[in-house]
Amino acid sequence: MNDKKIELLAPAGSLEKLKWAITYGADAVYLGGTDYSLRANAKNFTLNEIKEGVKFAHEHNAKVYVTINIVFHNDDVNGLEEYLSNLDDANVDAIIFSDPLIIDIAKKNNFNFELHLSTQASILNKDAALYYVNQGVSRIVLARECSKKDIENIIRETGAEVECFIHGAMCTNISGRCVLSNYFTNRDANRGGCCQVCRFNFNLYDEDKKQLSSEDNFSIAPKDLSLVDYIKDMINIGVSSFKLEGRMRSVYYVATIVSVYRRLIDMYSNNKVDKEYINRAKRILYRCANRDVTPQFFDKKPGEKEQYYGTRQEDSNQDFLGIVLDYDEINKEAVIEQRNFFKPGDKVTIFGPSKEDYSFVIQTLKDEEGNVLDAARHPKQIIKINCDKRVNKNDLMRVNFLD
Amino acid sequence: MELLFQEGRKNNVAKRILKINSLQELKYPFNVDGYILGIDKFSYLFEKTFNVLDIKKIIDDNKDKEIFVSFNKIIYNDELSEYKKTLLDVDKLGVKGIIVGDVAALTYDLKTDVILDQFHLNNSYYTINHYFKNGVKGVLLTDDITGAEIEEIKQNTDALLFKNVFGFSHLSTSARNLVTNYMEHFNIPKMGKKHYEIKENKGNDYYKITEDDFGTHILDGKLLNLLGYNLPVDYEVIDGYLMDEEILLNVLENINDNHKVNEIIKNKYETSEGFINKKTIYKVKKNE
Repeated sequence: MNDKKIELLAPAGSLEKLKWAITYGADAVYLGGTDYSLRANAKNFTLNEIKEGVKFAHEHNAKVYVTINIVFHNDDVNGLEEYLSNLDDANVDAIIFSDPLIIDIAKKNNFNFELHLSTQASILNKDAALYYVNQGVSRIVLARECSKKDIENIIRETGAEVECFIHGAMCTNISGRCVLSNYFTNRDANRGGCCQVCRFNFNLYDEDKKQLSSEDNFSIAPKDLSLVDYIKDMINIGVSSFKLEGRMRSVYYVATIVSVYRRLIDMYSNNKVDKEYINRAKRILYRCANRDVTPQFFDKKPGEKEQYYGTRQEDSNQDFLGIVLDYDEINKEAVIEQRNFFKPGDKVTIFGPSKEDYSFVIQTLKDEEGNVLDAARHPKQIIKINCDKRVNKNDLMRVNFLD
Repeated sequence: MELLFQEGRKNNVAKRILKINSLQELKYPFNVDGYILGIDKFSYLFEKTFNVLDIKKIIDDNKDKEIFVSFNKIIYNDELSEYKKTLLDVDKLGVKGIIVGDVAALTYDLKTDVILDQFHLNNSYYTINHYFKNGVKGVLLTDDITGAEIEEIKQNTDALLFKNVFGFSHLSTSARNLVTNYMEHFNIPKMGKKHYEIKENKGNDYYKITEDDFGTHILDGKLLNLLGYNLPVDYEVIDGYLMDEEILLNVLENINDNHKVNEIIKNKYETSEGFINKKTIYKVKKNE
């Protein structure tokens, strides 16, 4: 059994999401600045927001890693050294990079932050990992194509910290080794412009252009990754950091997967396995993203069942009902900011950091002035509902789909 | 800066090397200075690969050619010992260079010049100089940088520069068997084709998709043809992978006559100049 504390590493697509992720149990977050990140079209963080995020994280004993994981062209390097210096001054804990020019700049300036090699560098073996370890890299984010055996051997042979993705969407192709987006849309995949061609549908032809597919149902999209069944194995083989994908995802998604994996990691680390919770956790995780999940390469080479075939890949739902703003102890009412429609008679669950979920049936629904409502219809509307158990600010309310 | 199309090669000092996809190509050594040979198990995107003994013989039979051996695959952990052994065996053969796709090879202290082919990861002279300082002699440049960027790289590095100038550009590699999975799912019998093609419903462009032991690769359906450019590189790579061999050999025979080359290929292939005069974009909206 690995005695080191396992790090739960969450995505932070914005300052707001950073705070939610840490509040819900992440030990560290990763984020992109306005430049040099592979999510060039996400909102991303200004330098001031990074400073505020680092302050918040450090106050809560969490770490902040900044992704600078583009593949640089000549012109992109302008301003990079100054930017890295600013990040060092902001006390970020590590830079997640893929282009080795970052190593040279970091060495030259003797920065304090650690260097973590991104999965974009597609490290599949121990000797490739050693190349970077010998350059001063302290952590390797392995390619998602590594099996359990690969991961175990790389950790044992290199002594490096290893970070692995455990949940979320996957590239079809080896990360970094794909420029489909460049050719289909002129958007540079390795500089943050990826348009996700691997989610497109195609017609398939033989080499004489005779059509083989039925309409355009040929797709190369993989199902999502989930190692929820392999948490114990990951701990045992010495993985240091369990990484969640999803910088573009919602606050609800981030809070949900962080809280579920926090509990699972703590449960296995403390040898207190609750099989009933594991089953509930799987259902919660599935509902949250509404995409099929598999262990992908961890237990075997993915085959026919790990891929989508031109069918709808996501079912949208309106599970996320609202955010708890306050609790009225006297009237036993929760004050909720609405996110999706709900009404009296609905079964709901309120969940929050480090607590048991609380499920109940909505009996009464009022607006801020106390007027009785027949439904909560408007996004961001402030609603009061009956709630016998005390709940806290920043707890979240969802549809009770478990009972 | 735009690199102007040159009518014929003028003052071009770049050597031309041919990726060998069949034994036939070795018998028609027109207008090329060297060959790139794929090696069994550790190369992909070659129609023909060789073992160490084959390579030794090819070296002996082609003493006027510069021979490069390509280990362009990325390597799984359980392949490492055989990979290293094979690299060390090739290291003793006296070839001009060993092309590697995995940085694991940089830890083996090879005596032969190492050329790094990381597919699309070598886009700036800063990156190239990092590897040059760490023992790499040259790099294969990505297909998606502009001619102006190549010029700037050349001015700022001592590394040897290799550039694909003719062939179907390699766009992606997956460790999954994407076509086989699809056929299995829909019970479509496999036909042993060398490759398949894909096209979006509303699109006009076809792309080539092919499987091997590693997984699945997608290539541009248009033939990259930069033979008319005077690129500031040391080696121009010509690759007939998935091409009609007869057309390839005809092109090689007439390679110094652009007009003739275009005539040879125009009826069979749509051509492209890739990104040589076109920058990619990556921000579709300004930062908020």
